[in-house]
Amino acid sequence: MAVDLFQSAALMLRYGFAAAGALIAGRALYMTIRDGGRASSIRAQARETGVIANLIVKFHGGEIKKYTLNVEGMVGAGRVCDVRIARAGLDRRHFFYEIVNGNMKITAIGHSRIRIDDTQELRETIVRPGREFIAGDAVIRFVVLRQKKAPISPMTKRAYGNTISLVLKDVKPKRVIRRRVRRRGDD
Amino acid sequence: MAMIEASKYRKSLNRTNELPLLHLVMLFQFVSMLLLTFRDGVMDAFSFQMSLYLPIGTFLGLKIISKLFPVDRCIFILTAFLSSLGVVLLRAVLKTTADASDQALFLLIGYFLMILSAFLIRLVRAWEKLSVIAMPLALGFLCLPFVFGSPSATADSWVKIGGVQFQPSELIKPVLILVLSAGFSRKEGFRVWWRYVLFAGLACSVLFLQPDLGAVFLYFIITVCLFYAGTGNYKVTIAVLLIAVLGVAVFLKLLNSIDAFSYLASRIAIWQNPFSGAYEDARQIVQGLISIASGGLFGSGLGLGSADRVAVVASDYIFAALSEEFGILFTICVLIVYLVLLIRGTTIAMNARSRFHALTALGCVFALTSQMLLIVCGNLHLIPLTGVTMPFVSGGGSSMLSSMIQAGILLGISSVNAEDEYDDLMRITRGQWREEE
Repeated sequence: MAVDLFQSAALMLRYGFAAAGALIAGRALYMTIRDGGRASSIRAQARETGVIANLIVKFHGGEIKKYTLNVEGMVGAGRVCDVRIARAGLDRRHFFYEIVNGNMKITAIGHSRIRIDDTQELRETIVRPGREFIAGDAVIRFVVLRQKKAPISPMTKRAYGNTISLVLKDVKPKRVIRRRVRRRGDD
Repeated sequence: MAMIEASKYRKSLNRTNELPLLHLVMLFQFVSMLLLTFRDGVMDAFSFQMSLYLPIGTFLGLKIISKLFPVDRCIFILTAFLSSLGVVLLRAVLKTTADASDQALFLLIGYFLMILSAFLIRLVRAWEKLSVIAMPLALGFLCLPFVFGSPSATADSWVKIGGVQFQPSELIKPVLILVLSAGFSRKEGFRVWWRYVLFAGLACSVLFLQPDLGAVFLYFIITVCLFYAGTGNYKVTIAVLLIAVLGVAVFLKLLNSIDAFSYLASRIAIWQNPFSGAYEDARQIVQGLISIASGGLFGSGLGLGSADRVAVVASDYIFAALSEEFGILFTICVLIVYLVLLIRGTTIAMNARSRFHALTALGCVFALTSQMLLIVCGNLHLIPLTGVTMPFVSGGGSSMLSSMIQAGILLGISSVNAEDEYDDLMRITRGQWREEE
């Protein structure tokens, strides 16, 4: 009797299982499509997502251009590069960079080289914020963008490194000391 | 950058509520195991306990991992759904509860490993340095079957040490993905990549000698996928694929003359004509196909099927059992769930901020879905059966743990992405940066 009851229940529930499967798959698909739209929306609203530094490039002719940097990437003249700097004498893939502890670690790719000054050719170097280096014909300055709020992402934390505490310290509003300026004739 | 009004975009920035999906999965777990409790006329204590433990485990697992990291909850719920489907199927198909209880135990261990791997992928940064140690260790581990081998019908890829049996090729799969991702994420060129290509080649060679050709195929496909995604070098990728196709053609020509691969020659002959009646071993394929067909649209009813007549139904032919017990409609829904995992995993890879994370996420999701495709196509008689398992669903501890580790890696990377996204949103809505030199 109990087995008959089980068989009846199993036969009835197979429609329920098919419906449950359809609902699970449908809901998961809906969530995926909607979350995909959400990610696109964020990317559309913030084109500079993940940007933590800038490269200020001074071209041979004197023109200055600003490029944004994520935590890591490749710089060169080719389309495959994350930061494409054309018309500056850079190779197709010139160097790979990684921002660690607030500094920029550069590794030249292939036969490309980096110069800190006109004499020294380097394959690997670490550039501190505000310092310049030469790649191809361009003089490039590395500038870190400090956030007003400490980041929570482990990737960004690693990029800023020990400098996070300095960032936090800087966020506090400083007391402005107003000095009285002596003007001529005050006495 | 202009300030964005958060309220204006609130709707578009909210994540989709995952609770309906969680409730549906918990309901499925509860009802299916409760039904199996009364299968044999007397109350089965194991099934009754599982009808409570599986939904509670899913709920608590989601709560714990969400408290620890802001992971992609949909992936966790779908992983729990597929894993519990494996326990349900093993209990429904097999006469004893031993396999289902082992699977439930491995599922529990798998949850712990999932959290651990999510933690490690977030914490550890020096994967390049670790890969130097991991490569020889992994190759040594893959060689274990030559020493402690526990020969199966076809391949000597199993190891038995002190009563514990496992398959090294399954457990090394996440290591292969991590090592190759660490290697190919560097952009120095073949000056650096050669050692990772060599590692993958050696791993494939060791598996080929065992011979575990299903694992060889999977390792090769993962390597090619990660190489192309990491380097973008389509010329080398196409050349390698062409060489592989030529190699397979030559291998198939010479197959009959090599004793070690005689089983493969007979397997291909069986696959070409399973209904001839000339092969005793063809029964597995024929029974599997009958099993899939007899399920119909809605299945024969949970616990009422006869898929246990198919040989190795718990691991190799779990898809046939799924089709028979639940029907083709439910099976299509399960395949859609794998598709959703593929889409979400690829999105995680696209949103990752570091090349290593992007490649690792892509490798994990590609390995899981290609493994699923291999077993489904094998069961449907589209390709010869390769002996790989259906991720999360098939019975077996090595497969379950390996799949859970890969899912944990995906979850860990998704949590890093979510935190990056949070930082971006704060930056968008609360103001700009300050340049510092």
